[in-house]
Amino acid sequence: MRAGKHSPDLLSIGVIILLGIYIFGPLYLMLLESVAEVWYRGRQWWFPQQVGIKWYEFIFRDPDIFRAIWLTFIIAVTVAGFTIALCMLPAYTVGTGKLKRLQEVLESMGSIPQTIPAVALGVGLLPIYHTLGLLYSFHGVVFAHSIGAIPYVFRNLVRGFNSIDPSLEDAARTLGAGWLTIIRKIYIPILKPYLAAAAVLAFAWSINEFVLTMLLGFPQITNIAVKVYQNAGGYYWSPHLAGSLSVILIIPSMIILFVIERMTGIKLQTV
Amino acid sequence: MPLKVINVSKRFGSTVALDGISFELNKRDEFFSLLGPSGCGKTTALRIIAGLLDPDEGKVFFEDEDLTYIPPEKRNFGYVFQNYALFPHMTVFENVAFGLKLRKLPQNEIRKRVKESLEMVGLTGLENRRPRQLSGGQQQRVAIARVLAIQPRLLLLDEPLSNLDAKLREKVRFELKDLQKRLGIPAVYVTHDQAEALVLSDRIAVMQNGKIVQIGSPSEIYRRPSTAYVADFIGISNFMKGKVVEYDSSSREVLVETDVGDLIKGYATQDLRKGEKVMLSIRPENIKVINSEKIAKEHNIIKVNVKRITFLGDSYDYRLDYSGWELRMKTLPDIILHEKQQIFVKLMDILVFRMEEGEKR
Ligand SMILES: Nc1ncnc2c1ncn2[C@@H]1O[C@H](COP(=O)(O)OP(=O)(O)OP(=O)(O)O)[C@@H](O)[C@H]1O
Ligand SMILES: [Mg+2]
Repeated sequence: MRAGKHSPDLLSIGVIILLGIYIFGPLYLMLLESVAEVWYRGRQWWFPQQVGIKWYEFIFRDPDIFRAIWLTFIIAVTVAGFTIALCMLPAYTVGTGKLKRLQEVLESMGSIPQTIPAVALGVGLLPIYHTLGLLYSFHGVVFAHSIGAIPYVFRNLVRGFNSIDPSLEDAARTLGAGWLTIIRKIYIPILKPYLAAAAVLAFAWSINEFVLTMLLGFPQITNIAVKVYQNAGGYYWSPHLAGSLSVILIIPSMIILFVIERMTGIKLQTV
Repeated sequence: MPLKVINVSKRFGSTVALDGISFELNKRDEFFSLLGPSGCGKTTALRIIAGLLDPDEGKVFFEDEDLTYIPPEKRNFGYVFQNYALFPHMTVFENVAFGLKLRKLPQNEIRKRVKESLEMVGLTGLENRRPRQLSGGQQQRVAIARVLAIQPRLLLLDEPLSNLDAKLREKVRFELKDLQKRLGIPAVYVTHDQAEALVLSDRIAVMQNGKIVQIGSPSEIYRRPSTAYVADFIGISNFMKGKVVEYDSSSREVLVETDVGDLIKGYATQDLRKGEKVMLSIRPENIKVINSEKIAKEHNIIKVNVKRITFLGDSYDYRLDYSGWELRMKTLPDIILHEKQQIFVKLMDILVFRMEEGEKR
């Protein structure tokens, strides 16, 4: 038994290393693309001959790309706020068990968007947006992104409300608090980590959203993901630009995740 | 009349949680208990008084004001929850100050009242702790301080001692009652612990399946339980079956023949008929061992077997067998009996209840 114990350990370590390469290999290459100023791949595929920040300077000087970056973040912040506002009441109902009969319906409804491919959603939204005049508009894109962000936000808020002892609300009421005070002084402070998780996930979802932005927003409303696509062979072949744009896409999510985990001390649950 | 509850009923789906309960507090500083087993509707009653739940029927009055349409936040009642319901994200100070801030009191007044309330419950120096950094007993004190701070018109307490260990519970019982009397705030106290209710209360309402079956002072409830259920629930009661031989409706004295044929004289709690099947109830302290010479043909003397003897420190607990009925007897440790010994005992202060339908004891 003792000797046999080693081989599965070694095997799993091997698999983990391979998985690491599988996940981080492309990221490594993308990072290199973004900083490569001179790179003859035939001679040295693993590292460029000369590195620098040329491509980043280029990005920030191009008003079109700069606008896309700006839009990406503004859209994402709006999506996070809007989706949270949208999910608050149903999450309260489900999380506190106030309406037992509605609970299951709402719970399953909350996860439906996750099962619908974005393309299908976009195709369905196109005629509606056309009629309502939402095509190529900022709000249109925000609404569309919000649909996909609902499952993450809803689940985190439900989990938050679930964690709150229902007698706290009763205690606050008997001490003289109206509903507005209860929301401000009891629910929001206790929900803070869950709100943060919901906001980060909605934000991350939105900045990564490519299909719906392309279908419903382009060309007036573009984001980094769309620009990456354009530069990575969609319109032109510019791997360096695509790489540096991708880095810009990744960095804020990483920073926010890190800060929130530090701040709240809870591991974000992404499902 | 501080509080008046009139014919209140509440249903949850098909469960009848409260079935027309009525009671009122008589004095400004009355300590009133709702006592009953789990699920009998105590919490439901308290929540209705607090306004956290609307009754299906009935009304609640406080000082002749109809509270039916007044929300809990406007009633100024202090509610202490079973699990304390302290706000986890606030310090002890902030918890106690919560109700005061809502009343828009000036800062120094708030600080003063928080300090006073914490002093009253003997909890100073922990103002900056969070609830999870406190022991159960300390949390319970914060919960009480939090409601005292708002100077409530009525205290509602839902089993506030049930999460404390036995020793602490006993100590806090007396403190709680002293505090309530000192402040002169009427209190409705919910508990399933009869000993607690007896110690704390001026009056007790015993509940069964959403109904109040008896209201009275602790001694009334203990000495003159109105039904066998109450006798069983309050303290320890022994039961045995019999048949009415004679009944005097003016003195309520009743002579009962037990299944074995002994004649026992007791006090009837309801009017009885001759020949009716009845239940006799006797407290363990009302069974006395007698010298066998004296037996003669006196009433209330029965022959029993000693089954088991348990030493309780200040007394002995005997399990006696009377033709299949187990009787518990409590005596001072100066009487020495042996297991399997046959003895004669005299029964005193016997209550006779009409056999309720479906009762199979
Ligand atoms: N919100 C509710 N929904 C459905 N049924 C309820 C609800 N609250 C109470 N009940 C039911 O009503 C009955 C009385 O409940 P209540 O909580 O008043 O009992 P209790 O006497 O306080 O019991 P315990 O000593 O266990 O706290 C129980 O049968 C309970 O299951
Ligand atoms: Mg209860």
